[in-house]
Amino acid sequence: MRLRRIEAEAFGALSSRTLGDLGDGLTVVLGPNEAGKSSFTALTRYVLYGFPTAREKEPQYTPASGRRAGRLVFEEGDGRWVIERTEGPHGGPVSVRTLAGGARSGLHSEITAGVSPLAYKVVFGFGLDEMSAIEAQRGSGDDIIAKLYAASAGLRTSPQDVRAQLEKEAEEYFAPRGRSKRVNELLSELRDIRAEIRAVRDEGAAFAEDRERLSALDERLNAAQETRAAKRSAHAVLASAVSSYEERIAQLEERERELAELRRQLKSAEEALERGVPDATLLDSAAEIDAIVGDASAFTQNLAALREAIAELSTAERALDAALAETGLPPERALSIDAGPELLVAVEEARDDLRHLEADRDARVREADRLAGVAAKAETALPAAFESLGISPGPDADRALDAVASELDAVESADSGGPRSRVDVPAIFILIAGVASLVAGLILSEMVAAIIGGISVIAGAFFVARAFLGNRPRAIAPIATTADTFRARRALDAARSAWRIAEEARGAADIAAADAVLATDTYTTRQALFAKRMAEAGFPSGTTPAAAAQIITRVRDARRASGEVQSKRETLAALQSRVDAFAARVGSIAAATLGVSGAVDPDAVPGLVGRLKDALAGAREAGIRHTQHDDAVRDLVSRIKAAEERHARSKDEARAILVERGLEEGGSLGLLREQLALAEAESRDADAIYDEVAAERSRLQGTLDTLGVEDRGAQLRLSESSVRERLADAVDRYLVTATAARLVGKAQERYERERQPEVVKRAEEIFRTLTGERYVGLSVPLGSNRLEVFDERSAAKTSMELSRGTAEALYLALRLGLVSQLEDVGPGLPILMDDVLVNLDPERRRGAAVAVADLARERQIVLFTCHPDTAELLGQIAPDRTEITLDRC
Amino acid sequence: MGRPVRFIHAADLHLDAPFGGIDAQDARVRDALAASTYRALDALVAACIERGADFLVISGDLYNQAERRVRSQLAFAKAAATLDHAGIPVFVVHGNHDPSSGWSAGIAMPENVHVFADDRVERIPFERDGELVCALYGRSYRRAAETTNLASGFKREIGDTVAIGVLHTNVGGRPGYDDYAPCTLDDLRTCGMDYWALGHIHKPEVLSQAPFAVYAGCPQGLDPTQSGPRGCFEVTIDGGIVEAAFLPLAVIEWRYAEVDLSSASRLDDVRDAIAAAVDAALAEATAPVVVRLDLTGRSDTHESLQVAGALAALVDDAREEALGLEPWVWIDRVRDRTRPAIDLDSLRVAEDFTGDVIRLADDLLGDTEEGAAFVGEVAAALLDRVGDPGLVPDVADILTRARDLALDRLLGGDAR
Repeated sequence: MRLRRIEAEAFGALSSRTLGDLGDGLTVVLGPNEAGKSSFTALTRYVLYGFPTAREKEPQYTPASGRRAGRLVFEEGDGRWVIERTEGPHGGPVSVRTLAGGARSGLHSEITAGVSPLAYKVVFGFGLDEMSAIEAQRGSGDDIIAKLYAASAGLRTSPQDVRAQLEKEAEEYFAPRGRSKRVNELLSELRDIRAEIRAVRDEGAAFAEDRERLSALDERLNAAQETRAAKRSAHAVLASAVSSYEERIAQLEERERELAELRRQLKSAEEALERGVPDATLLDSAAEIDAIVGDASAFTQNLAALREAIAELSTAERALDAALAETGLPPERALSIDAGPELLVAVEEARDDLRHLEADRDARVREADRLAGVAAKAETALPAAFESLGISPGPDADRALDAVASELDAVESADSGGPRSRVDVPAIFILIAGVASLVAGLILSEMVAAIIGGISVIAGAFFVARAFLGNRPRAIAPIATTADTFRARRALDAARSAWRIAEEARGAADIAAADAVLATDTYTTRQALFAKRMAEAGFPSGTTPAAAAQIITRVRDARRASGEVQSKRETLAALQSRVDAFAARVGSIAAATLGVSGAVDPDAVPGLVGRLKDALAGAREAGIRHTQHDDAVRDLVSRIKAAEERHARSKDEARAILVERGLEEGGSLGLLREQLALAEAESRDADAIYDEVAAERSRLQGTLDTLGVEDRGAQLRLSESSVRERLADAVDRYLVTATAARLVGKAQERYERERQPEVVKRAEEIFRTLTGERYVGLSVPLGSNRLEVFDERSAAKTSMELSRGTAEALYLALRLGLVSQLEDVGPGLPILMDDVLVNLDPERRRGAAVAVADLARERQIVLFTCHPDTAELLGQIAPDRTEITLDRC
Repeated sequence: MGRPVRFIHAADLHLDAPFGGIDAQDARVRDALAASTYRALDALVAACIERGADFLVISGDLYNQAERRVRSQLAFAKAAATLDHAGIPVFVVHGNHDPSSGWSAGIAMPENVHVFADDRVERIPFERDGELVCALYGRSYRRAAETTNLASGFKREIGDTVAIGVLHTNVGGRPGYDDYAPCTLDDLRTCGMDYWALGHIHKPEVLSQAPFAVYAGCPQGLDPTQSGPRGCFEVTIDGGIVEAAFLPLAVIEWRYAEVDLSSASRLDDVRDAIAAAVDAALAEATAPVVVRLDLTGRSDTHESLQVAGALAALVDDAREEALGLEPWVWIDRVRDRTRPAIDLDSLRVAEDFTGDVIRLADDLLGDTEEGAAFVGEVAAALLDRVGDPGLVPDVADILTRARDLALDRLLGGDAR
């Protein structure tokens, strides 16, 4: 891969200018100052690594107009590619364009792989300004040599960077001479936890002692409890004694007052007892007097009833006389009639029966008379009807009409018709009605209906039979013509109708007449039977049912009046007897108690009874008062005795209390109270001691109980384990990271020791050539920031001690030696040198030219110079070089 | 003898033992861990009662006396009282964590608790219904560092129908445990015991079946290394035939898993792999689980995981999700042990800087002293500051990871 052209689109003073074609090996670009040598060198770097921003301390090469832009044309075999970049953000976008051959979009990365911008600037594209930078950067964070080592090893990251990063990471965990947060924090945390664990262990260790202390406290507590109980008991006993003594003293005073009062009451009661003695006679008769008083009200009622009974008897007797007179019969006869209910019912039934029969008889007579009139009227119409037929309405009129009909039938038979049958409908009706009446009468036990039914049956049967037997033809007058026949037929029908009406009217009149006769007989017979029974019962002859019923009612009234009189008489007698007896009882007891003598009038009895009652009440009241006084005296005597006993007992008890407290001589309530105050103080002291011991024991017990259940120790050990795990992890990470850093460092040392000598050796050879063997040795001490050179006397000098020309020769030698060892690093990167030989003396310049020409056989080199002799020198040493002349811009 | 002798053999309860090596940031997890040894004790008591045990044997290290925790001794007294109420005696020997001369809270134990003497092998006959059914032989530690062979003092008496030895010992000098009361299996065989109830080793194990020599293990794993089933043994001796059945008691289970991220290419794949590892841990568990994960393998995700906070964010997400499971899972620690997807062999032969780094690391890994000195120089100041001898670095691990880290940074992902 070779760089063929550098094209400046717009870059500083360069505008649309191209440098090329560059040779495969050495290209010498000769141009005066201001020809753009430095510009093309910088443009190459900027196209590869980006245009610097205004803030960067890099030459800006700002064009007169537009943005900076440039292109690099690379060539390999038949392929040609352009890497171009235009100013923009982040250095400006870069692109790869293929001019010939296959596409190589990654060409830019391939070319710059392993070479940082700084490394490129210092090693590949440098001028006089950058000559000393190769040393200045050494050992710093951007060790050019180290980076190039890494690049030569195919590493993207330099070992120096890796080691620095690893050391930095390790220091996050621990720094041997610094303060690292992680491990120190964890150690601090661990110390705190372990201190807590020790405290918990100490608590556990003290458990046994605490238990012993608890046992001792238990004993002290029991003792304090006993003392407290004893003191409390003593105090309670004394308090009770004082209280009892005070109570006894109060009792004594109270009982003395009570005794005085009781004795006064006794005296008063005894005087009252002597004063009130009751009447013994009255009290002995008290039961009888109470009975009389109790019966007095009944007596009063009996007396009033007696007088009322006398008046009622008189009234009843008068009513009896009036009732007997109402019967119209002699008193004995009237009272002898059996006017019981049966008789009255029979009379009333007979009265109703006769009244009914009478009405029936009258109705039937009137019906018979009416039907007789109808029959007579029908008879009267017959002669006129028969007259046109030429027959008379005699007994045989029926047969005569039949004969006429036969004749007419015979006349009419030539044309039509035969004989006709006739049915007597009224007869059949009568027959059916009779049967119905007979059956109803029999069922209802109504004799009259049954009789009438029977008669109707007989009459109906008669007329039916007669109609049946009478339908025989009879001869009639001859009929001459059809018109005559027709008229004769009409006359016949009229005659037949008149005849039938007359016959039916006659029949009905006959039946009604028979019924009227029968009803009249029945009424008469029943009336006779009633009269006979009344006569037998003692009623006057001819007594009608109505009269009989009235007599019976009055007889019964008379009988009731008679019974009333008798009852009143008996009541009167009984009342009189009770009144007389009670008056006698009152008279007797009044005589005994009140001194009243003689018979007692009933009207005076109530007064006497009142007097007896009052006298008895007075006697009783006096008796009660006497008993009360007597009871009071007895009770007071008893109470006085009991009070005296209690008084004595209280006195003894009070004395006993004092004796019990040792105060039998001169003991008093005041002394007792002094003892009580002392006991109370002792009890309070015992309480305080008990409470103090109990509180201490409770606290200790609480502590021990907590120890028995809490898991603080286990939790702390888990916390310790957690922190220790994290500490172990931190230690592990530190060790791995720090060891890795150390591995890299050691490998770097080894690499520098074993491989750097090749670089140094090559640089030494070049430097020796450049200096004409004045300096024969070159050393780069490991871990130092300096270069040492040795002259022919083996005297060491640092680069600072060299002249500028010698130092630049050293730096050039170092670069050439370094690049010669880079092998595949940046294979397409050309080395651009900007007049770097200018400060060398001719001898060294020639040596440098030789070295450059030698390196150009391995790597493409573009050397800019404004000195024609330098170009000439290089032309002599490297005849195959490419030379390009630049004009001033 | 009538029915067989049945007892529960437990050991190393380490009540209130400090949980080491765990970073329990969640309060629920902390509380559960703090209470776990006590809950395991409760489970042990329940097992004794439910199984109808004739007695309970505890082969040392009932609690950590160094913690001087009253709660632990009270808890055991309460548990013993419960067993006393159920008519179950408790036979205990002191171990190195609770030697008889150690600190005691002075809490009186119920009468059913029998502690073996510390100056001799004590024989305690066990009678049932007035009949001698077995004899228990045991000896307690007087001091923590008991270095004498206590097993040599055990000898079965003539007439014992069943003899049970109770001892806290390191049989065969097992590494990882203090070599206290050291003895060999042959030592145990010569004592004539039918069953050796052993303590000290926290992992349950049947050492021998003739005679039966059993480490009950701890009922509750005490740190992340004590993964796997933890509990006690139900022992039945019937007519000279001994059967020992393991009963799990742990209320929190520990799990460890390596998560191979070789095929992972994105952080989402890492998240999924962690979730899968949690599911796998939970699938085997019967109780809440504390799980530790190591992310391993050469993985494309290695570089992403190196970004500060990247792994922590993944773990935080996974923790939140795992704590929502039933039973819950606490992801205690997720270590990134992935390696960059670098062809070390090809880089090793290259004559360049990375080759130098690898060869330098190889030299240090190959020379233990030089490697230890190299890491020691890095670690000296830190370890001196920390002052925790437990944090001695694993030189090979540190060097390997440091090498990988350096290569990762140097190559920047380009040379893989």
